[in-house]
Amino acid sequence: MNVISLFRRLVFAQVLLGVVAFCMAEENPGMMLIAGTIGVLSWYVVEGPTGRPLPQWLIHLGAVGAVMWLIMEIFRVRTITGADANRPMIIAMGHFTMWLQVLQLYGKKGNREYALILVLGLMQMVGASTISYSMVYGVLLGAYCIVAMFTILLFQFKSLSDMVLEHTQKGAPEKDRVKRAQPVAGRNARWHFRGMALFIGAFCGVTATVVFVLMPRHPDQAIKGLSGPGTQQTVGFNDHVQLGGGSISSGSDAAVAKLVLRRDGQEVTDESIGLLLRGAALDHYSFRTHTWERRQPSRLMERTIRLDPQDETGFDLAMEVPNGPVLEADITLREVSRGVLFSFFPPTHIQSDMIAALNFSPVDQQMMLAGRRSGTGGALSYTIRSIENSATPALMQSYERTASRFTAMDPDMGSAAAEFGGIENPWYREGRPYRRRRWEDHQRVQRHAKALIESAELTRDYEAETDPNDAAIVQVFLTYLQNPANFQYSLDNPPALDGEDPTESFMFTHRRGHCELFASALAAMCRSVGIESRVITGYRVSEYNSVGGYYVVRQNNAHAWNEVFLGDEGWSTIDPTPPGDLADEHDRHRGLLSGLRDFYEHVEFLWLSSFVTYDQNTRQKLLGDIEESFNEAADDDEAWFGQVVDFFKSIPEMFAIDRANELAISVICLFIFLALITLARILVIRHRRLAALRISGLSDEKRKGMTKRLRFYLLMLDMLERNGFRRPQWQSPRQFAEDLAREQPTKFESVVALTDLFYEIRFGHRDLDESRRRRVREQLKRLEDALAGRTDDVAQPVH
Amino acid sequence: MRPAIRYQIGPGGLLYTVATGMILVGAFKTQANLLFWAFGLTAGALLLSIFLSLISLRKVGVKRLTPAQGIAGEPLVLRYSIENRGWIPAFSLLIGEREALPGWMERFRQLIGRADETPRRTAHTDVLNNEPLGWVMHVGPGQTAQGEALSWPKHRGELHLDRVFVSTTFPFGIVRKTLFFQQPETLLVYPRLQRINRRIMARAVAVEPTGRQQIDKPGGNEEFFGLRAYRSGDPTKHIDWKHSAKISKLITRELTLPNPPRVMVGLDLRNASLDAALAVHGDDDVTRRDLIESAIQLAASIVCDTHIHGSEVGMIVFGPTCKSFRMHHSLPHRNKILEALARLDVEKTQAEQQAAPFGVEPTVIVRPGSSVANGAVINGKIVLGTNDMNDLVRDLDQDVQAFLGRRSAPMARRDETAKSVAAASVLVEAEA
Repeated sequence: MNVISLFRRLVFAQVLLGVVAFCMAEENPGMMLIAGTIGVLSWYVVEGPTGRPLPQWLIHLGAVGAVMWLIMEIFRVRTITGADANRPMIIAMGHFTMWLQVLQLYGKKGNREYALILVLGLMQMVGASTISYSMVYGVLLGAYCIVAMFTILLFQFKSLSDMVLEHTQKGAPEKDRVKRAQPVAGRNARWHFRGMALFIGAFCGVTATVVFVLMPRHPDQAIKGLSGPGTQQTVGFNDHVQLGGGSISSGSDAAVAKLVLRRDGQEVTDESIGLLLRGAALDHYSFRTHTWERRQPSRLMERTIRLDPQDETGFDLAMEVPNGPVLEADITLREVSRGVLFSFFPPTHIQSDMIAALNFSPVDQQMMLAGRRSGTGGALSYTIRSIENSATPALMQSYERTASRFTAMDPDMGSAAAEFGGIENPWYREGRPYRRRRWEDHQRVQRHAKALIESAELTRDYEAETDPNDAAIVQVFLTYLQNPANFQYSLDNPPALDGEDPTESFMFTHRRGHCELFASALAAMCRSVGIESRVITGYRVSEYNSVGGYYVVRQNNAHAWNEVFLGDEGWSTIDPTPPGDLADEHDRHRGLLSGLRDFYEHVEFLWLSSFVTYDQNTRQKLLGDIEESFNEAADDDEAWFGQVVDFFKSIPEMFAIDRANELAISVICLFIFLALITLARILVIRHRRLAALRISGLSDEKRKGMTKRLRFYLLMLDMLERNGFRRPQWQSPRQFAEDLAREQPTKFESVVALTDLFYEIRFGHRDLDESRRRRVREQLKRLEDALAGRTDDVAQPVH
Repeated sequence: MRPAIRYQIGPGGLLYTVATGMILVGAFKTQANLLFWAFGLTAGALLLSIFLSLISLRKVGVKRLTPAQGIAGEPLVLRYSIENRGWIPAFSLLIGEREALPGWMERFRQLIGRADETPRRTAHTDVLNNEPLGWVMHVGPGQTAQGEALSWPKHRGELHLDRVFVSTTFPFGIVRKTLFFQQPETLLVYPRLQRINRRIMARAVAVEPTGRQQIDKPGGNEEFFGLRAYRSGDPTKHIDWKHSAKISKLITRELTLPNPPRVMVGLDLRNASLDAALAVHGDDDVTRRDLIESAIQLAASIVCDTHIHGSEVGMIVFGPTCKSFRMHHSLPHRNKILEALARLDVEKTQAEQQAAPFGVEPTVIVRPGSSVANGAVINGKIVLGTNDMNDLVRDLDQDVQAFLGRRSAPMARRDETAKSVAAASVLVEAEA
């Protein structure tokens, strides 16, 4: 095993792996390409056939350059504040350590330089671990750890070998040049090393897993940025819509949720379903800030619902639900973004063992997380039930009657329930005007909307609460907005003109924009003619993972649409964004490798759901599950484990054992256990002794007699062993005795005599007669005295 | 005998522990699960280091295999037989006579003025240039490996070796486990041996009074001496068949005994000689001890070189107490002389030594100071002084080199090898 050469290769591989891993963590392929190429070239420059290290001054110059780079990066990111401030700083430091390592690859490397590379690599990977949660990085980190382990193990060899060499060279006269000797290694050194490395890796891996599972997490600190800590810019769901103008990014590809959907109990796997996952209902538009937001009355009407963790049936949000297809979804959110819980259509039922309480507003049917079983971070799973395409006034009325359940369930909610039950649903009556207010002041939108209505030969009384033509009017608006001749869907939206509302800019000036502008335009036109409308933000669900058997929701699936009140039909979901363009934007194209991609996505989801989002809540749940599984197994009378537990439980009853007896029996069992261990040890010793006497090949009868006769030899071996002279198994008794006698003849001449007797009896088939017994006694006594130093004639070592 | 065990956490281990703590702090601060895992990994490595240090070297035994003797200035190889009786392979074992202190600890001890008080210092550090230190990469379960440590004795004398240590920091260099085995031994270091100038040696041999190579006495295998009647046991090849046939009686030829060149070395370390030599040096930075050691070195070199050339050699020491040796040619005889010179205690003086204890006057006298008449034979004696040591031990090649005024590469190589020929021959013969 050429330790030095192997070590050099491993260090090279480790640095390159570190570069790739860090660049993957920061999602910077350019840097990976540059640093990786420079790193790879170092092997040819330094280790190649004609390679030699670069001069040290050049390395120092490079280090100065790295410092300058670091300063520049810090200067560039100094203005970033808030939670994101650490990331660019960590990246800057990571770049610095990365360049230092790559530079060291080009220089002349002693043990100090190698140690520096290892430490810098450790720092770099710790930094990278704080900025990335991606599975690819996780895999690279694992690979890095394995390479690092081998590197460190070999570094042990190399550093000690070098230390001994330097030490020897230091003492050597000038004329003697000491060269590195071949390392002394026994048989199977390579396999032993691999085995040991495997053991070390397994031990560290198991410890890391145990520590990872058991280590308590901070209960009040959410896992930050699960949905894409590595992304430069994330665009996804928001609980408000700001129409500031300008282009938006389609957002990262990171999955934010998975859901299993069932319609009337049948699992839905249709890719073209295009269902809208409802998040925030925004019923107020601020002309000052150009922002759609949730108005105060909706928040004021929120009622806190406490979920019973023991109740597996869940909680009915509406007492009576209208007839219709029941949609049930098992939703797992990787992160509870802004506390919003999602549903398909207005929810009627919720069940979760991870949610302690939620706020539900019957006004806009928005659900907000009010409390978790433990902590607030990490993944959250719940099951939500809705009636498809149904938000009828009957359902709205039903929400009112849930107030009585609040009172019955939680006495603290009594006053709130009374307040809620004591008034009519403000959404239905009083809430209506604010959902169309102020748009009447914007004559331009109103004129345009009226013109569209008139062109369709329809009329609408602004003061009327509802109109039978409302559905047709909304359809006119929808057709108008989705006509490609009128509007174009584009993420690259030009900014609004000065003094002009972004919605009006979209409608009359630019005529192109994204989903938020389409939804705003529809809401504006509806409200301008007296039809109640609001903007909904959430996700459009269309991607089905066939490997995992669930729908995947990504950040770039974030969407905005409308809900329009249509009299008896209640609140209808209307999506004004051109469906073709939306499908092009959101739907993933299926290709030859889609199965492979689904598999990767599934594994990544498993990685994220089981590793990255592991938090205090998950931890307690996992530990609880383990305990529960154990208890279940113990309670299962049919399983072998349960039977064993039952048997032990029944022992006190079977024998009428009380506590004191139980203790006594435990002590006895302990003694029996110790006795068994002692017995096993005795057997092992006996086996060794038989091997020492070389009588294992004899028959049992002969062996017994021979053992008795040769006991003196074992006594002699014991005496010698107590004094540090142990006979190796490979050495014959004669050789052993001669070796001892050669070193200290006087001291060990009795060993030679006793060994002669041993040979006489064992192989010469002589009996242990009285004369021999006497000789044995004498020689043993002499040996004992010699070993104890009681004889004067014990010779000094002879060389 | 159970070895003493010591566990140590070095600066590397402390650094590692601090780094592990920092990862933990980072994990708690960022709640990044990868950092929790990384902490688990580092904590696992720490635990494993402690665990492995507890179970490693459990049944490892070390036995020092000392050579017959060492020679001052020549490499001394101490071999160690490491037997691993356990079931765990032992990796990266450091073996030696004394555990080397790390540089920073040495500096710290110097800083606090306790460099000399360290209990780790043992007698051998006075004799050896460096502490013997060896490295063995692997000893498998049930295997025995032999590691070696190289060292250079500074001067002659007895090298007292006390305890052998074996240590390992495998796998991560965090915890060092060291076993100490008490194995007191004494190794004799011969004086430094050098090749004597050939011309000087030729003169020393030539000073034999008769100059004859045979003695006129029967019993040898050299020249014809005479005839006598055959006696039982005479070799048949010595029977003179021609004469036997003539007189019908077996006649045996007698041959003369060989008379090899003989050198009796006299080492003059009397006070008078030393004082005179010191007076010559005057203000030079030369001590009495230096002069004595040089003289011993020169005498030992002559003895060894004489032996190599097949001459009988004896030795008389004037001054310190030392046994005198008759002239004889054998390896044990030469070794006895070298041992006597190695053990020579210059502090113990004896009554005036007779000039000819065995009836033989010294033919080569070695003394501190200058040679007499540039090594010429005067009154049947050569007086060689340590002041001319460089000339005395210079090889003929070097004379040529001085003549040419330049030093070619082959010459330099010959020079180096020639200087250590004597030492090498001692080692080879002793091992044989």
